[in-house]
Amino acid sequence: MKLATGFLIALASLLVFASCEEAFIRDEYDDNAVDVFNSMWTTVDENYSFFSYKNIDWDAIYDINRPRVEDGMRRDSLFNVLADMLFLLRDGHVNLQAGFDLSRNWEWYLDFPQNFDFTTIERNYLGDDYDITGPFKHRAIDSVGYIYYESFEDDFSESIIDYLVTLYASRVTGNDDTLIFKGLIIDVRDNGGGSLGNANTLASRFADERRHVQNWQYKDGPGHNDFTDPVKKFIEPEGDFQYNGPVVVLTNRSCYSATNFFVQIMKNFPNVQVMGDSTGGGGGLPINRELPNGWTYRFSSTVTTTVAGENIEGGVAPDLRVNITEEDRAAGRDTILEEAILLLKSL
Amino acid sequence: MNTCSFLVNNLYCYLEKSLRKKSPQPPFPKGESKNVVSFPRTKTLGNFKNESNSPFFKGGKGDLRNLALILTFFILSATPTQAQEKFRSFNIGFGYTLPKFFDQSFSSLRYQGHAASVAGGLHFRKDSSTLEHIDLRFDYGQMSAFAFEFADVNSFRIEGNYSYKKRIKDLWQDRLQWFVGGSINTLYTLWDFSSFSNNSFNTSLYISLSPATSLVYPFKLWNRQFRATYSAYLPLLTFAVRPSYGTTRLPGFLDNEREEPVAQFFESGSITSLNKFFRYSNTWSLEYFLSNRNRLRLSYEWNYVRYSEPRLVQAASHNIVIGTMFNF
Repeated sequence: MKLATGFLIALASLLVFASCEEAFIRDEYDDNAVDVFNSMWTTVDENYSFFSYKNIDWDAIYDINRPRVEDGMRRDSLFNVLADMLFLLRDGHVNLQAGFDLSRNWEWYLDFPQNFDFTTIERNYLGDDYDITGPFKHRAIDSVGYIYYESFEDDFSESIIDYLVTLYASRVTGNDDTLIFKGLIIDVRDNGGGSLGNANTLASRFADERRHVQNWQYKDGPGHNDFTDPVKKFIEPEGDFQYNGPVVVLTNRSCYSATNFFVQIMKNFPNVQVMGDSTGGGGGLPINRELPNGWTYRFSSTVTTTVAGENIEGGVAPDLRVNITEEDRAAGRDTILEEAILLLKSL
Repeated sequence: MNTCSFLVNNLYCYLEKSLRKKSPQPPFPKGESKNVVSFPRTKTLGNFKNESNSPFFKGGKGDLRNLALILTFFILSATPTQAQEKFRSFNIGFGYTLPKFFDQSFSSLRYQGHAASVAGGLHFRKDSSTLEHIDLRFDYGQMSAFAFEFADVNSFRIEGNYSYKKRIKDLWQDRLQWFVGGSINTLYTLWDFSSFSNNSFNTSLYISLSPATSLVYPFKLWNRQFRATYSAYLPLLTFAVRPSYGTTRLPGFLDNEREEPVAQFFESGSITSLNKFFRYSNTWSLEYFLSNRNRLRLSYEWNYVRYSEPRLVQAASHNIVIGTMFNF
C-alpha cells in the first residue's frame, strides 16, 4: 500500500513538472494584428542601428501607423501598414516577407541613373569570345584586363581568383617580358551584394599589406545609440599572388551591401581608384526576425564606418565621378568603362 | 573458435538445459546496506521459460543464442564486483527529448520540437555512504515556432555533470536514503536558425556550481529488485556565455582579428547567480537489477534554464532515456 502511495506521489510530481514550463515559456505576443504590429515596432526600435544617423523619429512613426491597425483586419492591409512603416527607414536591407509579397525600399538606386547595361558591355566590348571563370566574366580590352562580377552571392574558390589575378598580371610578350596589360578593371556595377566573405577574399588579392580598413559597431542595448566601441576590421594579403598593378573599380548606384563593403575596402589600397557613381549603400549587417503570424523581416543591426569614421550606410563616393551620358548610352558606349581604359593606358 | 563464441555457445547450452529443467542458482550478493532491504535471491535463469510470452523472446533457437550473447557480456563485466558493496558502473543509453525555448535575442516566439538523445556516464560508489556521478548527454533535434510549418531551427545540446554526494540520513523507516552534496554542471546549446543569415547561430554555455541532492529508494516488486532515485540540483554560481545583444556573435569574438579564441571566449562570459540565472534540474530514475548487478535504467529528466542577460532566454526540456549500467 505504501509502495503504491509512493508511486502515486512520484507520478503526480512528474506530471506537475512535466507541464510547468508552459507557465514560464510562452510566446511574447499573440498573432492578432495589434500584437504583430507591436512586435515589429518594438523589435525594430530596440535593434535597428541607423535611427540617429538617418534622423528617424520612430515614436512618431508609431503614432501615425498604430491607429491604422485593428484586430481582424485583412492580412494584406496589415502587410501594407507594416511595409509603409519599414519603408520610412530608407534602408535596402529592410524587408518584410509574407507568402504573398515582399516589401522593400529601393530608392537607393531607382532614383539615380543606372550607369550600366551589361548588354552594351557584352555586345560592344566583350564580344562573343570572352572567358567565364566561375562567376567572373573577363577578357582583355585594349591592353587592359577587364573582370565583371555580377553578384557577391556567387561563390568562387581561392584558386579561381588566384588564377585571374595571376593571368592579368603576368602575361608577357615574347622576348622582353613586358607586361601587356596596363592595368585591371574590376566592374562591380549592378552587383547588389551577397557574401561578405567573398568580398574579403576578392579584396585580399589586392592588399599590399595588412591594413585597417573599416570599423564596425554592434548594438549592445535597446537605446538607439547603444553601441559597442568601434571594432577594427583588417584585411591582409592572401592567396598565391597579390595584384599590385593599377586597378580601377567601376561602380554605380546599384552596388549595395557586400559590394558597398568591397568598394570601401578597395579604396584603402594605394593602387586602386574607384570610378563611376556612388555606391547605393548598405553599411549595416542585416539580421532576420519573425512575427507572431509567421511573416519574417530583416533590418540592419550594425554600423560600419571608414577608418576616418565616415558612415558608409549612404554609400561610398567614387574617386573619379563619371556618368554615362545620354548620347553615349544611345550610341551603345559605356562612358565609365572607356574612361577607365583611358586612365589605365595613360599610367 | 575464439573466446567469445566459446562462451556464447557454452552459455547457450546452459540456457537450453535451464529451460528444460529449473536449476538452482547461486545466491545473489547481499544488499548495498544493512539499512535497506537485502537483495533477494534471484529467480532462476529458467524464469525465462515462464516469460516466454515476452515479445522479444519467443523461445526460438536464434533468440536463445542472442540472449546468450547479451548475458555473456553482462556476466563477464560483472564478475569482479559481484560480491562487493561498492561498485563502478559505465552507463550508456538512448532516448528522446522534448525541448522548448524562448530567446528574445532571436524571436518573440517560443520554439518547440523533438530531439534524439545519447547519454552516458560513470557512476561510482566507494561505499554505501557516497554517490559520485559523471553524466553526459547529447541531444540533436529540430524545432519550430508554432506559426511556421517547417522546422527551421537545428538544435544541439550537450550537458555534462559531475556530482559528489554524501549520505546524510535515512528516512521512511530507513528505506529511503538521502544524499546531499555538490555538483558542477555544464550546459552548451547551439540553435541554428537555418533561414536566417547574419544571426543564424545562437550559442550559449553555462558552467555552474550547485548544491545537489538525491533520494534513493531500493525496493522489491514482483520479486524483482529495483532502485528508484530522485536527483536534483540548483545552480548558485554560474559562468554564462551568451551572444551579444544585437547579433548572435559572442562579444569577445566581435573582433575576429584577435587570435586567442580561448581567452576571447572567457572574456565573453560573466559570472552570475540566482538573480539573473536560474536553472533547475530534476531526474527520476528507475533501475532494474540484473542477476549480476548490472542494471537496466529508465530515467526521466525535467530541466529548466532562465537567463536574463543580455536578453531573456528560457529553455526547458523533458528527456527520457533508457539504458544499461555495466559494472566494471
